[in-house]
Amino acid sequence: MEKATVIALLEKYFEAGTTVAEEKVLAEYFRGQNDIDPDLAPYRDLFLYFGQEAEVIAGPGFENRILQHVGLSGSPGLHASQGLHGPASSVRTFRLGFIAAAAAICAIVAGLFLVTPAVRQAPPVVVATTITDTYDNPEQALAAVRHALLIASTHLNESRRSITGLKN
Amino acid sequence: MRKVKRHLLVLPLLLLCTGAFCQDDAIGRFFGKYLDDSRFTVVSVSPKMFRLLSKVKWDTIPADLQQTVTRLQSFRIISTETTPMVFYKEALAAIDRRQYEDLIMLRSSKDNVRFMVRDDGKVIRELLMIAVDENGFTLMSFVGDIDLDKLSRLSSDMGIKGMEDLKNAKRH
Repeated sequence: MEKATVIALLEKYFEAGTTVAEEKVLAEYFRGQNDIDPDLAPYRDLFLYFGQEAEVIAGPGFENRILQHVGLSGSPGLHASQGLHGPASSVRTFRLGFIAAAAAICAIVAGLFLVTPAVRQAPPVVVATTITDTYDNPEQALAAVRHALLIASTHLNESRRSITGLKN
Repeated sequence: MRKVKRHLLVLPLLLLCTGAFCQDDAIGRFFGKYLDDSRFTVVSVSPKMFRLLSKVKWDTIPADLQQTVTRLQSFRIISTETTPMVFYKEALAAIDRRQYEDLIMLRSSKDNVRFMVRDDGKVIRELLMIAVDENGFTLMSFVGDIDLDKLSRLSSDMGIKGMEDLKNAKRH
């Protein structure tokens, strides 16, 4: 084959434009000839390497090792029955997890839009506190709440009386 | 699948937690920085203590008071005798009016009392009383389901001991 033809094919090959037949021609050219033009010699090793790697066949037990690696038992009878079902199941679990995560994000986003503007515009809490009890005894606590309620009640009634007095 | 279910259970818990932070009362929200200030006296009754109140003997307690207390979730009061008017003005400025509405304001020559409420459209969730006179400033918050009619009936039957007991309460 002429050097110019080989160069044209190589250019086409590296632009991913060659057909399978053309690639076969190139491979045969580089593997078959010993007196390759020095300009084309660097490509010889490349095509030899492709040829060698294409002949590699998976060794015995390869499939089992892969199945064990992905967490499925590699016993010989398994991939006939559960082997096919296994990967499908993990994909399904993953998808459900993904759907759950997506639903959670949707719920949070929807929540953000559904809250009333007043709540949304609320300023951030200056100090988030937890209420610490002043009294250990429920009776003392009740007495304090009772007094406070009575004070609030008295002031409320005073206010109402004032309003009624104003109306009259 | 189990992992997915666990995640689905965690989500509502997270949402509940964020909701719990929203339950903070006005004192916690706007006056939290003074809770550990030595100039202030603080009295608090937590939601946990309100649940424990069911163990108290209720026989001698009037029905209206009983109903009002059982609907409360928390109570807190903060008061000071130091520069009352300064803190009163600070409270009025700090309280967010988009959340707290003025209910009643009573102004006399001696004192100034304001009631504010936070509601969810149907139920009053928090009643806030802000009081000031020349001797002191008091901010009082009741959180829960508050019925103003029942509350105003409480004082008509009973005598009032006043604020003294609360002011003498222990500090924390």
